Amino acid sequence: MALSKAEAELRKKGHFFIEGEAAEQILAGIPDDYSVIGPIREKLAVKYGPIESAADLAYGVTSTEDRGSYRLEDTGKHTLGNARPINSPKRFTHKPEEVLYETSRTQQGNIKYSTGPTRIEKLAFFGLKPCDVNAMSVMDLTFNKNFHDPAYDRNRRNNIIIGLNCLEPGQNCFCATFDTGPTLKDGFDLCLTELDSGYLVEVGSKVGAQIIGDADLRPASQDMLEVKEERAEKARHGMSKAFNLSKAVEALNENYDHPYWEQPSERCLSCANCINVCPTCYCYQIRDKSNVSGSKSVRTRTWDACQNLAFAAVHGGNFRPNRADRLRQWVNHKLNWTIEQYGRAGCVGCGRCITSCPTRIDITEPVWRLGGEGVKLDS
Amino acid sequence: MTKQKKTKPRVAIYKFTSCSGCQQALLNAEHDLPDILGALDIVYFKEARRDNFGGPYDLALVEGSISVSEEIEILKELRKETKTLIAMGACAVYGGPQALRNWTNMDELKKSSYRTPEHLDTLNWTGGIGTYVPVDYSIPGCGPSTAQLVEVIANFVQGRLPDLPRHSVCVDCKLADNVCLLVADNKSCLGPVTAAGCGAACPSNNRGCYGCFGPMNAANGMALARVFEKMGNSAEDIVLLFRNQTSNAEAFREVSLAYAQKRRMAA
Repeated sequence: MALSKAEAELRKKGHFFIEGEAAEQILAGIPDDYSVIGPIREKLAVKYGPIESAADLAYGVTSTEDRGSYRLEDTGKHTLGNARPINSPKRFTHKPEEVLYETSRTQQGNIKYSTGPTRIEKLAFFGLKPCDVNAMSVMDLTFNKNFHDPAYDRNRRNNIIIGLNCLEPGQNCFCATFDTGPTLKDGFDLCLTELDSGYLVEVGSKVGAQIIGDADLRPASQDMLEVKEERAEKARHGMSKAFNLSKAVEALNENYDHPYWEQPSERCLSCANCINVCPTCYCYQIRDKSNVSGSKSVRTRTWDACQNLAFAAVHGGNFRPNRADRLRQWVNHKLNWTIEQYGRAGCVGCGRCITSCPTRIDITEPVWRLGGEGVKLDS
Repeated sequence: MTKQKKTKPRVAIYKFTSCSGCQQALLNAEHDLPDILGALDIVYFKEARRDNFGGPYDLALVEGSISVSEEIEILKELRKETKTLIAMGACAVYGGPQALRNWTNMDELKKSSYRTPEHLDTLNWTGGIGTYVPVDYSIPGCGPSTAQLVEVIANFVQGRLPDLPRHSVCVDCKLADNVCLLVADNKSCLGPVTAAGCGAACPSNNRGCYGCFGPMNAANGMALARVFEKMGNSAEDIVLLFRNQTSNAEAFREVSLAYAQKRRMAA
């Protein structure tokens, strides 16, 4: 069948269409030695977790979020993109706990160091939300830019990223603030958009083209791309929490000592849920643990959080003993200071911290309270 | 390197009013027991030894709360003859479930169970061993985590300060990739105000945290209680939630007392 000029152009750009179900075909194209991570359904929530086949994917559910609340419901529709995973995919690249190395004492009394784990992981992520794909790029700035963190690199080096655009953002989503969603522009091998009769597939790399076997695929139509753009635009404007980032930064800087900070802090639990569900929070602590006889010791790194009182403690304790200090530090680090450090915000607007806060603290609230109407998204 | 013959530290595993579960948690350290016995001379351990010897001790791990008056004197004697005294478990640290008497009328309670309550030598108020003597370190939990017990012993043997985490149980839940019961299931859970160490044992089994490790180091109990209230818990429910094995810990006590007040006002 001869392609029209427009269709040939879309094929060249790597825009294809798969009618009906796409997951099976794509998963079949992922090399066998890869472990695949995708959105899976548990009783109470959708999570990113290991999958064996397309049957494991969390089809037909939607999540409803509020401050401090997440509820899962069946939709009766065979769609994938309507539930937001409650956990973040960082646990697969920046693992909650990672052994760095082990030491042992020889009979002569010398100390022997092991090299630690050396296995290079092969991880493929299927159905990753645009915010989460962008979060990986943010995490890379810390672990994989100016130097390569060996533990992170092992998990991150071989990733295959198959994104899934969001056309129905959740109530706590505000990725429009950072342009980290609702659709992906780059950073993927394949990017899917769920349309009424099938999947729009954008190819972002050679690996992606190989996975999907693009030679035999039907190119997308201009209409499909327009539908995608239209829905993405609607999604973008449907995020009531999204704000104008540069105005927000001004407001945060001008009000560093504002008494407002006492208000959310009064109910902050310092439980660190916000940090541990954040796909870009990277802080960790290192602990040495030895056996009783002292013949062996393991050095492990574990997620740490700036809301923990023992975080970064030195002699005399934490520099931020008050909850207000710690909360303000975190909000500024996510929304403000990382821009100066890395040229982009540390937050991607996934909203998980809002969903997961038992006392309903909302990271966007300081922005609105300190910046007022002036921080509106399109202002 | 020639091995120097060192005298092993003399150790007592002691018990006051309690269920012996902490000592059991120590005996459960099967993998590490050979090392522990190689490093320590445990001379007093009634749960595990036939013959037991008096002080002085280099280390005492003490289980149980002080619930009857004679225990006060025994504890003071033990403190005198012990270099490092460690409170082991929720009873020794906070008073345990025995401290529930602190919130009730003890005379009535005695009468309800005994025909001749005047023969009972029971304190009207129960606390951990820190109420009566200085304590060098505390290992919380009901029961305490075997891994934490081994960690503290390993640090003692090697002359380091133990470093048990005092952050929230939520951290352990997130490390374990548990779905939050508060957020996704409207279940009352003390995890956000309770010290970690159990590996989020209860939430991992779909039950809210009972707070048996006691308050975390930055516990904001009142803020969590207000969440419980919004979730539909009555003042009575909240009092009971904060009155389990560690009701006597200050950060939990202030909540249960405040809500007991509310309960009275509602009645």
